[in-house]
Amino acid sequence: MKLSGWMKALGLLVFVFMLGPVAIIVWISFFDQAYLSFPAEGYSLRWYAGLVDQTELFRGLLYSAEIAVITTIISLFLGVSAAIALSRSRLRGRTLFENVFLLPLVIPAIITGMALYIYLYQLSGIVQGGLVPSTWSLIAAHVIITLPWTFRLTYAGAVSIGTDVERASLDLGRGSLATLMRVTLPLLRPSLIGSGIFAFIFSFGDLEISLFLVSPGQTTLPVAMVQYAEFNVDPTLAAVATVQIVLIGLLLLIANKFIRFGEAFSGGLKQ
Amino acid sequence: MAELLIEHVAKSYGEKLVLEDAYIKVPHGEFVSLLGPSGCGKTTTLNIVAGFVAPDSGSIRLGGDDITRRPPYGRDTAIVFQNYALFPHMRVTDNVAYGLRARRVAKDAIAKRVEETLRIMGIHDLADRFPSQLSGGQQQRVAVARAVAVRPSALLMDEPLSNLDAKLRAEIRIELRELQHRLDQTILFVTHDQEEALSMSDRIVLMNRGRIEQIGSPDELFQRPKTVFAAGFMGVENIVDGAFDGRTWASENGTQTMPGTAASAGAVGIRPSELELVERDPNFVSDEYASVQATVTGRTYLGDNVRYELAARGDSLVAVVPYSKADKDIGDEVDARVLAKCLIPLEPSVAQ
Repeated sequence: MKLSGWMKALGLLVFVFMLGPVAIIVWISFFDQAYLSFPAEGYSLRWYAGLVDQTELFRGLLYSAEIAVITTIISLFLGVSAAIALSRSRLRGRTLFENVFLLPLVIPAIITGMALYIYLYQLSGIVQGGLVPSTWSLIAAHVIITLPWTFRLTYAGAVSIGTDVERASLDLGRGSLATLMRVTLPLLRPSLIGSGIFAFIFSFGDLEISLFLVSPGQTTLPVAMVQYAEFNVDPTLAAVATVQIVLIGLLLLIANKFIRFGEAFSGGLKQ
Repeated sequence: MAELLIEHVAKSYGEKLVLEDAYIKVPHGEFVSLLGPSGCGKTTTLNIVAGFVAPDSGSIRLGGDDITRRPPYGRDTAIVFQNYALFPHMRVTDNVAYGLRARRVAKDAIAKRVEETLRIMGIHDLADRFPSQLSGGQQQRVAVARAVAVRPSALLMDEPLSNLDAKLRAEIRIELRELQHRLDQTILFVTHDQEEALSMSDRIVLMNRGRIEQIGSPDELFQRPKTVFAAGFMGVENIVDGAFDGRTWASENGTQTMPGTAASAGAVGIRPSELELVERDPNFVSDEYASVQATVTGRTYLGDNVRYELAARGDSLVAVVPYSKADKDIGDEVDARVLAKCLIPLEPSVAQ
């Protein structure tokens, strides 16, 4: 397709608009002064060096990573099971089920977080020790918001590999479980890796839902960052953000090797 | 001895009857084709034999055992799929070894059998390739190799040649036939291509709308189709309605004397190539020929042949004449003659 001049300009504008803030954050993280102001009065790596002493942020990072790993495993298990089952069933109302899995994308995360908090709080009367705040309620919430990704990306993959290879395996004498392990899952590997990385990124970066569900003294990195920003205005957060941007950028590059995001939501898969 | 017996099998999806009381016998070592247009029930039959579809009634016997209730992995059958369905993440060797490993055959026996099978199929130099690195014809051979490697009691083939070009198809037909004789393999073959069925099968089961129209050798089916559907499917383009008592053919459009042919109550079939077009002769009488007066209404050049459309007392007929004899033109008044022994008496189709 040939793009006219003004369309190219518009595209460039969108690009600048999206990447501008990221670039500025990275830039600020190298400023020397202890308050946010332009222009730079000098450049240094002191905010990066200072991260070592930020125990709250560092503990947040570890906690976030822990939550994200467990969330990814559970979300993959549920999402992949549902994707394989639904893509192979003739269930009436299959489309409805498919869309239910996408629902968390439609509801603002902050609403989901609040709703979950109220819901779990009401249930807490029944369960000894209470449900909120707790690490498991946080993980449950993260599973909910990452399911659309693990489900939909795997679903696209499951549809594209078709059922004939599975039938061939059954026909040649392998049972259902052996067929799943030897044929279906190995063929879904690109989707599994791609959607796993996505689940990790969304769990790791989530603020809205976690705000309601973290325990005092044990918070995720994004929540710790918000708390830090309440009392400090130095470029520490810019340094943390830059580290995050690099990490997530790397993960996305890996994910992109396995899944074409443009096609993942219309059913295609990189082969 | 592995005889495959499909006994009175029926299947319907809701209101839609896809297979009605099918009885098909595939004796050991025979090549039997299920032939018919799409939706005739041939693929459903294959899926029932393989165990992917449960029949509503009837039973499947293989080598004497009733396997109707067994899952696909509990049946000694192997399918060659239309799209081959090779495992894309496995090399050719592993694809071919797959069924043997599932059957827990000893390692060195597997290696030997795989090697042997690849050699028979002429693809031993492709052993280390992945399916995506193979041409369509090569993939097809791997698919056959994967299925025959387990020496199934019955080999099931679901239109396995339909994705190949014409030249390759002709080649593989011959190869498959040789392979079948060599392994003494019982084969149930599904196809919609009458030429394919005619050239490969020991027997053909012609199906239409879930019913079996006719079972017979390729020669029987081609030369003596029994029903209107069978005749149409076998290229008998002229099917004229009317009662036929062996001498006289009474149609709505008059009575025509037809010497020396068996009686039929339904219709008469005439192959376009059997019709001759000659000068109108009002006094023509013959014991050998049936003759009808006709007007040429269309003429299409086909290279070696010319195809004529004719109007004969309200019936429309088609004649295919060698180019050297095609001297008639549109508007000509002719006699369309056919040897009486070439008239095919037809019964109404089984499926209505």
